[in-house]
Amino acid sequence: MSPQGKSRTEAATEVVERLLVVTSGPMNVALAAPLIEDILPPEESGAAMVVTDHEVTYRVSDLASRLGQAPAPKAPDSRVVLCGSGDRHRGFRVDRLLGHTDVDPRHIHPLPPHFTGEERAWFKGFFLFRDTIALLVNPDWLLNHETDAETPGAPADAKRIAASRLIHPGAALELEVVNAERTA
Amino acid sequence: MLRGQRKQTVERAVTWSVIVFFVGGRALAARTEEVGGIRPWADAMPVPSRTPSVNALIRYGEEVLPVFDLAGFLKVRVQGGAPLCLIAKRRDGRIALRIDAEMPRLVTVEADALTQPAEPDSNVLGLFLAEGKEVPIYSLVNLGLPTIQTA
Repeated sequence: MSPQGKSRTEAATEVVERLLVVTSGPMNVALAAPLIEDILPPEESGAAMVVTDHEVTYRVSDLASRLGQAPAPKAPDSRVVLCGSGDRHRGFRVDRLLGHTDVDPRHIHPLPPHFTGEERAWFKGFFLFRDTIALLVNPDWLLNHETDAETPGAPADAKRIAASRLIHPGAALELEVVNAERTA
Repeated sequence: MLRGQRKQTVERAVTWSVIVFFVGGRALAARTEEVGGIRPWADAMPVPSRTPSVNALIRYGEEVLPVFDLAGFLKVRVQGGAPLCLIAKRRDGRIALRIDAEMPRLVTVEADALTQPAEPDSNVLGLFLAEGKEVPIYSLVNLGLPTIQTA
């Protein structure tokens, strides 16, 4: 039995949500890891508006813009995170990758009731992250964008990403566990 | 005995205990029972929001509070290098207000001395005079919330 009174089997099957935490301006924003299809290396995370990776076209925008914030000047560690779900694909430029983290869903809290506007649909909630807070973006909202319907096929000048470079998004990043019970 | 008790009750009812605090150099007040505490301001994280004046979260240990931008609401700027956090007990829960670094003070005001603002403001319970200036007493319970209509 674990110190919490759970058997090893029970503890081992406990669900955690794996998230990638990034910064966008002054915000820490978490993206669900299953949503992430690739992360472009710094040298490919420049000003491209459209990239093609494995025959999939991603329209790229600043995550800050998607969140209705003024885009900040390009950060030196800026990266493009390629996200997808079903047939919806988009790329988001973020200021910095903070790393992957496993969060117990019980520690993801909805926004306080004082927030009564559209933001309730933008975020699934927040959680304590390091000595601060991270906002968990609602993936359905993130990938739903009015311009998606108009997104054409890859334009001739779309940046093409070499398939050989594709790595698991978590491979190069340190994993940390937030408020989740782990067993050996 | 009964007469004495009644007199005490009446006396309590005619004075208000308020906390006077400052935002953008302006003195404001709130009833003490609507204030949940005063702390040093911690770094707040902006939250993209369409809710008027509610646009950040602030963390104190394990507690996370929403932030009401009182300075923006009043169209002033918080003053002082080390601003304070006043926790308001709004009817939908505790909410943090960033206030000036100047230390708030506890004041007792006579209810009879309260006046109403020239322009009605649903956020203001009344005004009192302190050092020759009118100080508005804000209703923190309803701060920034739509007025509840009663039938």
